[in-house]
Amino acid sequence: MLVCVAAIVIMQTTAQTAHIAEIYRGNELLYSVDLDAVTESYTIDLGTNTVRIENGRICMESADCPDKLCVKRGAVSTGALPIVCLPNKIYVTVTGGGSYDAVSG
Amino acid sequence: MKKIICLLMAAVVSLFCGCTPKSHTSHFFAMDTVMTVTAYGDGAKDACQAAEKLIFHLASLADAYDEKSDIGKINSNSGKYVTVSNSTVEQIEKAKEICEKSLGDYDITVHSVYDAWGFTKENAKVPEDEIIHQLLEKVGGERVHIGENNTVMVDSGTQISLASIAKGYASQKVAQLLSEKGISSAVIDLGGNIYVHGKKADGEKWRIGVQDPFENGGVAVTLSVCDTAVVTSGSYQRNFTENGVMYHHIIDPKIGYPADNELVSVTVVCEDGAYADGLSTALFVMGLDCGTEFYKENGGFEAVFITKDEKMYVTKGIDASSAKYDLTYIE
Repeated sequence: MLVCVAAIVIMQTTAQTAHIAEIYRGNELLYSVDLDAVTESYTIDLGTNTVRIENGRICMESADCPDKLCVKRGAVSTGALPIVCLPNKIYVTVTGGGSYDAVSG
Repeated sequence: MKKIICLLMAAVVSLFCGCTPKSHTSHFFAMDTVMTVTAYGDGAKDACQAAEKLIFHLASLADAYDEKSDIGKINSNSGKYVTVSNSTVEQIEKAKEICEKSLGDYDITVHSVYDAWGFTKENAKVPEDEIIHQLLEKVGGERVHIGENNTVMVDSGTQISLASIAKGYASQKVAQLLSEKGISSAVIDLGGNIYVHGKKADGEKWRIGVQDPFENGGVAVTLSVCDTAVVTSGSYQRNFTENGVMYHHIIDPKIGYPADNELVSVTVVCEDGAYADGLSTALFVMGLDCGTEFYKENGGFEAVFITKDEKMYVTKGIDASSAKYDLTYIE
């Protein structure tokens, strides 16, 4: 019984603090990555954009858009302020661990 | 003994479910930005899907570059009354109200000037002075007329856009829709144009960051709020550099050039999403001194002004104790 309770508490704690990166194109979820489980840095080629995944963080490494705002955004490790490439409709968000429910800007 | 174990198991399951409120998040692109709606409670998924549908509908009505949209029809039939949807009339009424209150510092008829700057295109550039002067002749809140039975007319040659008010209006309408669907807790983030509906599932207020204009991805202050819109207009949001000079997208309707004062961003907090959206633009154009006077004379909202010299001026209704920069309260 105690083991069950402990397991559930651990599951809950993990669920609330895990850093899961989600990569969307338009309204479609392309990838979901547990950033805490990443041991070695790697990239995902989306055609128009290349995303780099590292332990605990994610960034847009390159993009073919004119303004490169998504690349300039740098690496993110928490939610609320996503990486957005409007021209290519790419959206990268990280769930868990953020201090804010949303950011106005 | 078995009964006791069963009861304990039930208690644990109930605890487990209670700790994790049902929620659903929808991400989608609309109105030239990325939007996120998160709703909590039973029916969250259906509510988010309905919210998304409503936003796409409002976006289709407000698209100034689609001749079949409400705004497209108004612009392509200048000089004639055109029948439009009730939501379009409501936004134009609100825009006219802000235009009058701000003495023209906010004006949806500046669209043709904005278009000449090319902020909506890939190659933004400084227009010729002569072009700006010609276009300014068709700018003015008095050139927009609301008739009977949901009809609107702009004077000949005048063009309007709801881009500076549509997201705030949509956020408020989404909050109303979610409420009708029994959702009492939600965060509506329409490209940084925020509306928080109700409180968090644990009864606490929402923590909304105000973007730091000086640090990409940073937060300048965190606000604890509920049932309100939080909207920011900033010169850092959309701009370009030509001959070493940075030009941003918030055009002063009186001169046809980007508003040039001490401000880098203005955040407005108030229950009326459309008002918050339009007013953040108006206050940015006014500048700190006139914006402060406007607050004292009109009230009905709270605001955070951030200046180029990295100072923050915050109205007295906001707890800005987490402010990152030198802080002055506006009494």
